[in-house]
Amino acid sequence: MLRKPRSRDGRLADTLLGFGARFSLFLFITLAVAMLVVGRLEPRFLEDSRAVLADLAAPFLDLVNRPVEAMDKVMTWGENLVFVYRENDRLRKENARLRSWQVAAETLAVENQQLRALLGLKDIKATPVTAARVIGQSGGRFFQSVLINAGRRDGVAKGNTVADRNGVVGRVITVGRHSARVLLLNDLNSRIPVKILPAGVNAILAGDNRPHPVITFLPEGVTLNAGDWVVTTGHGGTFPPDMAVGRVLAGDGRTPYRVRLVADFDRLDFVRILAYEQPAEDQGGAP
Amino acid sequence: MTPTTFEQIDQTLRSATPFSWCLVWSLLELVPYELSGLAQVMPNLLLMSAFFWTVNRPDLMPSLALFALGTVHDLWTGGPLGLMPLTLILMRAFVISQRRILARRMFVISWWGFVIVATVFGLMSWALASFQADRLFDPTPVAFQALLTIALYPLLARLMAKFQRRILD
Repeated sequence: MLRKPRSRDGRLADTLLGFGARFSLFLFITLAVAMLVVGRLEPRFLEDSRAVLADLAAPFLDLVNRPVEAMDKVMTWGENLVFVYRENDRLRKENARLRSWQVAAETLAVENQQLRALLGLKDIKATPVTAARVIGQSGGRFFQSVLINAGRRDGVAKGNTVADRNGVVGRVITVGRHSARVLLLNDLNSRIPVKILPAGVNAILAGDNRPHPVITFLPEGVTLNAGDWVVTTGHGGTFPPDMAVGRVLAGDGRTPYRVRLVADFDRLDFVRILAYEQPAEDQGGAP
Repeated sequence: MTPTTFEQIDQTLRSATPFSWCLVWSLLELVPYELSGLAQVMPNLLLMSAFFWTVNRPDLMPSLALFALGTVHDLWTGGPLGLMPLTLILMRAFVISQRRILARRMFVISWWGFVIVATVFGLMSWALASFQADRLFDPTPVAFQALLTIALYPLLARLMAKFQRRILD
């Protein structure tokens, strides 16, 4: 170890290798390790400080986002220009196919309504809270969350469902005054009850930080087909029932099925926030 | 001669440059760039800037500042709290012990030092995340992130060296 006499001009060696420096090194390492342990328990005050800090960052991120978004628009425009012919052809075909589906859907919607009226079913619907813009990503490798620019002020509450125009994105986990953090469906900690159609079986969709989450707790012996729809069940009370989540990917028979999410995770910009109150008679033992 | 109040304020602001830069870089890390997969391999901008300033002006990057920066970074990104402060503190200890080599010679040498720091950080974050999740993660994204962080360091260092010359020296 180097030992140098203390000098007054702020030379580094002594301030940094002296007893004080070693003590502070030890102190801060201990503190950091303590934080790792405490952070694991996710205490309430941590959530609050995350929310406060996110609030502080929100205006800045909002500002920085604009040029980034403009740039993205220009790129998309260029892309569209290049592929316009092929895209047009594809859309024409798709349109023709969708027309036939539209007729089917309308017929079914009417029939569905009549049957519901016949049974006296109450409509369970989620109430839209607000729309928001995604202003921050998690910036991490091991956790999948985004920051949105709506918070308590806009009526957002913990547990609210977040969806883009195609389907479910995730749920709100921390709420600040004007920002909130959304846990995405593919995060390791995301587990949501889902129903797979047309089989009608219930299962759990579990994220593992990869783009396509896994279907777990599938009843024994059930085989799914590629393209089967995965929708929310409403069990547990967080997600409103029957919202589109994704479609089953072709399985290999050995590993669990994975799901291609319908929400546009590569390009999350605007999202809807929905509140959902489970009907009173349904509230059994679920937390 | 005692400095005037204005000079004192000016000096304080100048001294806060490294800290402010680090804060801005860690904010920029959060911006959703809407590029597929970039979030997975987003270079660690805070690590780069903190390393640069610790090598070049360790007097303006005390442990407390690094600890605070790391904590804020972890709270912002929503990652495992404590990983970044721990990394930055260890990085400082490493830089200080090797400072005579890192600071004076050619840039390539400090870059090499950064390669070590970024690699150790990658390994640590991977090990810690795997430990917390109780399973082994795919190390590929971490490796990519480390590579990208290392590759972009000269660029960022150059930019901040300009600031250092203009504002601090």
